[in-house]
Amino acid sequence: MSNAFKKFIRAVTLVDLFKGLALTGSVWVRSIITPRQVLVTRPYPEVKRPAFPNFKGHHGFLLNEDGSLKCVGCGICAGVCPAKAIRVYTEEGKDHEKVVVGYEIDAFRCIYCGFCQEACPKDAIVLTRLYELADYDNRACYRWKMDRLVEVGKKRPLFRDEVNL
Amino acid sequence: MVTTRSTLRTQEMLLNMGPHHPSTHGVLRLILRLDGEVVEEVFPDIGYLHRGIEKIGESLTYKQFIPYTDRVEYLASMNVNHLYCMAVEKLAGIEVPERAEYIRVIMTELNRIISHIIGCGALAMDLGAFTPFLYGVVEREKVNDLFEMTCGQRLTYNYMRIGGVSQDLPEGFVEKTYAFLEEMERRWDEINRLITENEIFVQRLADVAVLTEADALSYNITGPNLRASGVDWDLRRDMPYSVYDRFDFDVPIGKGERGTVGDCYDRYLMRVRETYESLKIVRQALDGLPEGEVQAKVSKVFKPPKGEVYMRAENPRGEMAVYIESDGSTKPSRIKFKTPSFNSLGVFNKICRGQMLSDLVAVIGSFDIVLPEVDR
Repeated sequence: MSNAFKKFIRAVTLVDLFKGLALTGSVWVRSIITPRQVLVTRPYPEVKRPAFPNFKGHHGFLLNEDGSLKCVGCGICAGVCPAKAIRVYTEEGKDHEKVVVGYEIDAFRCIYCGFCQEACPKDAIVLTRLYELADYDNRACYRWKMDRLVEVGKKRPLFRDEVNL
Repeated sequence: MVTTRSTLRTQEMLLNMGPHHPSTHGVLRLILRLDGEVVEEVFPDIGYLHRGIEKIGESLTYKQFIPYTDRVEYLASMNVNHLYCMAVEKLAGIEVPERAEYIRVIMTELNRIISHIIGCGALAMDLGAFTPFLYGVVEREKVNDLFEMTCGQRLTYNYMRIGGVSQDLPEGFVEKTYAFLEEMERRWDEINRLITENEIFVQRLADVAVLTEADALSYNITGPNLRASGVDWDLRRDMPYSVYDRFDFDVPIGKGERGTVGDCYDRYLMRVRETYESLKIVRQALDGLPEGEVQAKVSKVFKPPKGEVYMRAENPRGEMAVYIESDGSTKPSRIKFKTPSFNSLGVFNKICRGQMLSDLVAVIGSFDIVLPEVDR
């Protein structure tokens, strides 16, 4: 009976309501005094959070110091890719060596697992910290050709507006 | 308990709940036979999210299948990663370095915490309390940042490897995790103050859809849902895998604090209390984190011996198990997942009979089902 009486008192005095309001109010005040840069909810286009160094974002193609491709066209990345997103096109060169003529990543298929980066014996392909993948050109958006990958690899940009793709 | 079966009988009605109902936690269609507002029968219609992951596994190598295990259950990717890697290691007899085992435990327990945050928050949201979910997501975001620091992904981590983990913990991870644990304990208290003792919340959950101990055992319910029915069984304690035998933690059991043992409120409470236990485990694992290698030597062309293996692990939703059959080649010849949410869905028809239609939302939320895991 006393339990029911307690319940009644709590219901009449609206204790639960005010307890809840006190808590939500304190969280609201906390969200105001926290600086915008470290708030969990950021006003995105104005405040951009750089990804962590390990982040697996847009692929980039690295060059040697003399400007030639690091990639030798071995095709291991295409082999380990679980989503079969990578295509490597090679041709026979003048001295019967392998020449990479094309490299293509299907952005729709890629699951950003990072196996290509781990498997590459020459460290030619990396997953950069660029996570803004939207594009005005619909073709370029899902078929990432060599020039686009080289462009990203050169700059290793943090955000899309730092690179002209 | 409110008597839900009235003496007045109305015309029977078939009603579809879903597949796009917001509170079915994914794409689930429940076909309901209703008598007025009282549920007579529930037929869960599953398969909307079937992607054939088990079949895909047969065409990929053992290592290549790891990213796909993330997608079996997206709210607890680390746990499924861990389970699959443990199974392959058992099959091939690979010894995992101690540091890697500790890192795995830290990761799986952090993932269990954020999974329970979503579980409790989504239940509250289904019942009309939006705030706990938002507060919970703030904490989840911090763990997501920790995961992003470590493995570069925020949802599908692909962190574990056969024989270890993909990379060592980055600098500052341990300190940030300690900070998170302290913060999380306070915030979780706060979130609970909002709903756990809230009279409206308790009234919606207590005595609703009681799952008895016998039913839970016969329907093969596992995890927090089983413990809510009063069965003292936790795989981490009773059949320890990885390094769980070195940690000291309690296993909460449903006692029917506000109603009957095994009602929705008990299932909710289990998740709340397990979060505290997971925090304890993470703290102990961080304290005892040894130095050393994080990856065992595994040949590049990985070929486990011929045979089969069955491995199970305690996931946030219950015991998940994987069966792998190897024919000695680089690709598994059969992979099968046993998933806990599938069993939870099976018992719906039994326990929802005679409940009100509006309580069904609470039942779905309290079982914390994840549909991709049901359909694979």
